[in-house]
Amino acid sequence: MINLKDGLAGLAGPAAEPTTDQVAADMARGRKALRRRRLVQAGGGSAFAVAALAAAVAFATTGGAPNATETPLATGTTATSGVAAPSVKLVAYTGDQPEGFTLDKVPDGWEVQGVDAGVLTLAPKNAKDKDIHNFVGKVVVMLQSLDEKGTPQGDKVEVGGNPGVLGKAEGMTTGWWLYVDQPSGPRMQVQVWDGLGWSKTDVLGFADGVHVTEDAKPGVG
Amino acid sequence: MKTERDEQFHQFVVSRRAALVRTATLLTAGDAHLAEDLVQSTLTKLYVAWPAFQRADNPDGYVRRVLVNALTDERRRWWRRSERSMAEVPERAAAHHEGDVSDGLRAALKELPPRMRAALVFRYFYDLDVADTADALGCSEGTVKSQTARALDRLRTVLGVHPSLATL
Repeated sequence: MINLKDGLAGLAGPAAEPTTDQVAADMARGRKALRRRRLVQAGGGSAFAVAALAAAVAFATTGGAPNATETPLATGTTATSGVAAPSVKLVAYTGDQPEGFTLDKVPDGWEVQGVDAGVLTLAPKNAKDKDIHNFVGKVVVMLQSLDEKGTPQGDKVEVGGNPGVLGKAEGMTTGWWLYVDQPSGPRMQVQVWDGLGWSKTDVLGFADGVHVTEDAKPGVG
Repeated sequence: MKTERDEQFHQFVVSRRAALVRTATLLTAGDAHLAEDLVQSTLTKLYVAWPAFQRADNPDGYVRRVLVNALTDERRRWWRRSERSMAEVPERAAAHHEGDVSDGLRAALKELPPRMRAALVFRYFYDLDVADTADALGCSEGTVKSQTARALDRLRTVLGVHPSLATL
């Protein structure tokens, strides 16, 4: 016979002492985050600092400088600085359509990393992390959780003729969330990880090419 | 060069990381990947805010709040969505072998919204009182009571009227 506390203890697992590497990694992450924060504070959110950081991230993400002959989708602005952010070039999606959604366009150099019953994950083709449930540095599409109530607060937008709300979580620079009403059922959600350098127009341009099918299923929690 | 913050943080990680992982594992209903992510995020936030953490009247409460905030962080909301619920609540096993109950408990916890799960864990695993649980979750004591009551109801649905639940 098992009681609740014993059951939870079993689920929590044994208390495994951290390895030296884990402790060092924790320290490194902390120091890096502190340096980043101090850099931002020192720059006072200056246009140069924000633009330079976004450009560096975009360069690393796309694997190189944009081709001068390419026409950017749009030039957007960061919410905090009003500075022009690097744009994302969207290209026609030619791969197999994922279950639950159809895609018209994907960022150049990106691929559909995977899809399951409720989440569609896109990532750079050379991304080392292939876990579709790890959203760091990626763009994700899904349906709004059934447990999320109320209307999200953000900028009112229109995507594919449907009303939507676009916004950022506190502390984000170029990370976005977008909710788009659907003719029926839960809203479609698009999440762009912070630091990818997407502008507002980039997000809307991408989302405009995403269509929910009847196979898409909302999550919970 | 190590600073005083580094030294203190190092000691904290060595002494507390294992417990944090266990708590995070419960808060994520046994998702080891997400639990590790929560712990890393929590430790990073603690390092950045180390002076404030050191000044906290209730350091344990401070850590719990940071952990819960990481769990409910907007940017991680979709991580949690990866804890996808089972299509249907598992049927109650005819006989309650321990393994059945453990599996059922894990499945039942996964069914709970994260904050409700956290309320259950803090109240009935860590034996926090309602006030401390409310502090950790950043909600009212009434919310804690209602959340834990609903959580227990849902567990009973999966696990059956178990003696350990009947007395709660």
